[in-house]
Amino acid sequence: MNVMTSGKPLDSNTEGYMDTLVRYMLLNSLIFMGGSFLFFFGFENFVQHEMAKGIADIAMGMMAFFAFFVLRSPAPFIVSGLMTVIPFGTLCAFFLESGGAQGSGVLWSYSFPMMAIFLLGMRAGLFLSFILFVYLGLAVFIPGFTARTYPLAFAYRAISVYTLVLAFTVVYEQTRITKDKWVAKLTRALKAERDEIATMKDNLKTGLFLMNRDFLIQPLYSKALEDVLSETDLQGKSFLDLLSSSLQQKEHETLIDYFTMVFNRSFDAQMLEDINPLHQLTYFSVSSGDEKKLRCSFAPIDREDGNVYILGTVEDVTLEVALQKQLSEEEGKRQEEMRALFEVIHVEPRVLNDFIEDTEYEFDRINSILKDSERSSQNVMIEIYQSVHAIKSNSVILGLNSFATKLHALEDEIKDFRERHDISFQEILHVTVELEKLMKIKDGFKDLIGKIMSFNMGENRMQEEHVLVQTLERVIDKAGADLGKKAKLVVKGINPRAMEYGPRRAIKEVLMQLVRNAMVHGIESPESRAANGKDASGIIRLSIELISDKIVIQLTDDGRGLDFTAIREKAEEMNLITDPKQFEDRNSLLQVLFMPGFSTAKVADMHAGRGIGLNLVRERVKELKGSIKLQSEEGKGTIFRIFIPADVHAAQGVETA
Amino acid sequence: MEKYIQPFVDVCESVFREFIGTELVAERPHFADKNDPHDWDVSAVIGLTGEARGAVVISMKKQLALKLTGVLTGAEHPELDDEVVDAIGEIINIIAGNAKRGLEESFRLVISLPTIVRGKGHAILWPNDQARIIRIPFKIFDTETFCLSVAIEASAGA
Amino acid sequence: MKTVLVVDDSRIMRNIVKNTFASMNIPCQFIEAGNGKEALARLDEQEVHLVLLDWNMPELSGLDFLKTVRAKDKYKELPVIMVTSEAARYNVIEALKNGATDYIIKPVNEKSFREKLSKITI
Repeated sequence: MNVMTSGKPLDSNTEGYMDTLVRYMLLNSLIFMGGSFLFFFGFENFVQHEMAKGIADIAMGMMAFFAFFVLRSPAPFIVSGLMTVIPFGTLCAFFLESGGAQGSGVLWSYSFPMMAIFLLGMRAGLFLSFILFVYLGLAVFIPGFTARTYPLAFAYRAISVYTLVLAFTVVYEQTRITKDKWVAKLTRALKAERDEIATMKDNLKTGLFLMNRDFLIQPLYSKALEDVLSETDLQGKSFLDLLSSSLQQKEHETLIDYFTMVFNRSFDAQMLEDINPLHQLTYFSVSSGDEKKLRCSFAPIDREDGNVYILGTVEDVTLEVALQKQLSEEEGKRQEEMRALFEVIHVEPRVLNDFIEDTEYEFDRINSILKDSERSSQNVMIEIYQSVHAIKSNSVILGLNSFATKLHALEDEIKDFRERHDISFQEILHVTVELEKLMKIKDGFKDLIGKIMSFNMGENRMQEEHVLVQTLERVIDKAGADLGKKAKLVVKGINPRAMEYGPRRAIKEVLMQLVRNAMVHGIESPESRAANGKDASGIIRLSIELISDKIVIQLTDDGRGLDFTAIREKAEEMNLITDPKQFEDRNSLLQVLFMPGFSTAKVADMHAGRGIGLNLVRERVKELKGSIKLQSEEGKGTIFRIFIPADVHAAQGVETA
Repeated sequence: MEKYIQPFVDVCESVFREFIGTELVAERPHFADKNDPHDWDVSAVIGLTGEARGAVVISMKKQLALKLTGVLTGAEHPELDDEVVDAIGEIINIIAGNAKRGLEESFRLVISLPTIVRGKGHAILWPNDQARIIRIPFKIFDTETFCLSVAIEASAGA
Repeated sequence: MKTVLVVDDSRIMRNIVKNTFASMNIPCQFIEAGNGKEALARLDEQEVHLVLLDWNMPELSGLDFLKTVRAKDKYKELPVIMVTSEAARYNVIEALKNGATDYIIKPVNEKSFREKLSKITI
């Protein structure tokens, strides 16, 4: 092949490549054949002692072979072309001259136009052919021009056939040139189109690919696909294998089922997209482990080979998903804030003000405990817990559920700390920071109150007692609603001076706790009450009196009374009584009721059950140097009597926000 | 807020351990009001901006400041003079620098260079409105105390 | 008058489905089944034009019911719409693979019912 193409490196992408290749091959063949013939004839002549002719032949033969080498050199094709064609033309002329065997010398000429035109191109070839044409004409028409004489009829035919051959050759060559031009144009156009498509495909941000029935990715896919999947050389890889780190076994199978449905066009496009399991996918690249969120969609495509393929698009939507998540989180937060705000607005400003004061009091208490370096961290936690619980109870009563939930959460965290001796700085810091957040919320309430209050300037100031009664009524209503019970607060009498001289806050705290307990443990359900011949609605009676120098608070309920059996059981369970004699002694059991952690409720919830209710009461009363008396009758009810020394000098004014 | 405070606490402990050679004991945090009167003699204020705004303030009394300067320079200083302020400034700079590294990498926070304020009852300018500070006392050299005060809130839109 | 078979182990759910369907004012009568087995029994008793099928049921699950039903020649063309919750969406493909005609996600509403029904002929 190298010999035939003269070792020329031909670029198959250039136009006219085929053309040039053919020419080289043609010329080389001509050289070999023509040259060989010439050598042969030369020898023949030598044998016949025609020396001159022989030498001429050999010379031309050698020229032809020389042309072979020239052809291999960088010299232009036309040079060796001429070096071969001209000798050949001369050869033809020679045969014309000599006539050849039986006048067959003429025949050689008919091959010349084709050789000349194919090898040397239209112009040169036509020119040389024309020269031979003239020579032929002369040879056949003019007797004596050459060694042989041709009859006229022969002459006409000879020249006509030559003309025919020449004409056809010209037509053929021209057609071929035109065709080649046309093909080249078409190829250019196709290439341009292909380049355009490739540019589009490679600049797509989306991964685009075709997948066959075996889930193998086809060769032409968009470059972006590699980026999106964080993989390279995707051709021929199984799309399913690429997802192997991202899907569970079951999901994998479901995906295969889905693809089958897509291939088979089992459902319309809309439906297929609705059930697309890869509408959103958390993807882990098999080779690099990159994690991203992808969106894929698939559609069936028919191709010319008659097979169905799936056209898949894969997009990286990690940012989109993160943003969406952020937006919905923010939305959630906003809704939460709105809810909290609504809750706050629904509370009567005076009552809310009261609540804020109480809360601030508790926070101050907490702060002084924190500052007290004498206390152990464990003790600090116990105290903080109590305060947080107190604030929480108040919040629940007022319906400030958002605030209460946060308090409850902190309570939960502190709960465990109460048992530990080894509380770390970090943990204390954490509690402190959380408290700060709660304080901030309280500040928010205060701001709100300020704004609302400035609206309500003209209203009559509500008196202390009314605030107290209203608060207690709320406790009853809320507990009643939550527990499915009914009860009414009946105020037998509240001495305003008692409220003035008494520690308002402590009294309120104690009463709230007792009222709540009455609802939870004392008052029975309406059905139970009816069964026992009581009114469906229970009655809780309150009186606050000033008797000599004591404030006497009495709270009575007509519920089921204290359940000494339950108390005994729980005391046993919690090992609160060591002396077996005390199990029978009602007084001892009553003592147990007031111990921290005691509760007969099963699970701690917002209302009761953490077991500090009555303990709190005892603590407060003790702080105030007071005492508690407790009476209970099974089935009839319970009476709490609290005695607090009145401090006439410590009359407290109502604080405004 | 905790996530910002804990690094400061840790850095204080490590800096004092490495540079002063003494152990700190972090005591219980509590609350204080910005406007409360205080009797610290010198304070260093490190401002924070970015996803949260606020400041961290390290305050101490003259006695401790002098003692620390003594440890650092080897010389005795009778009064809170410029050299003492410089020395304290140095310590605070190191604390701020170390805290900076941790905080600026983990959060979108920018930590400013500390400013030192001195004088009895000196006013500390806090860069945000909230009134409440979390104060963490530290025991040093067994008998002395200084305190780390923090008031940080998330920036609007963070 | 077309007959619709509502299969769900929750009576409440069945009622909801029936009511939603009824609000579309398509004249039809309803029969109910609490599990796959009962549903098969109902099918044999009378001619049913559409089945609304819940997925998770005791005795015979929705999937098994579907497989059994499609195995019988006379029920091969019976329209069966699978009723499922959003959380159980991945079951849809399995349902469709086993012959469900379409699916609908709870909570069901008139609009989605109409859409699905328009695609099938009862």
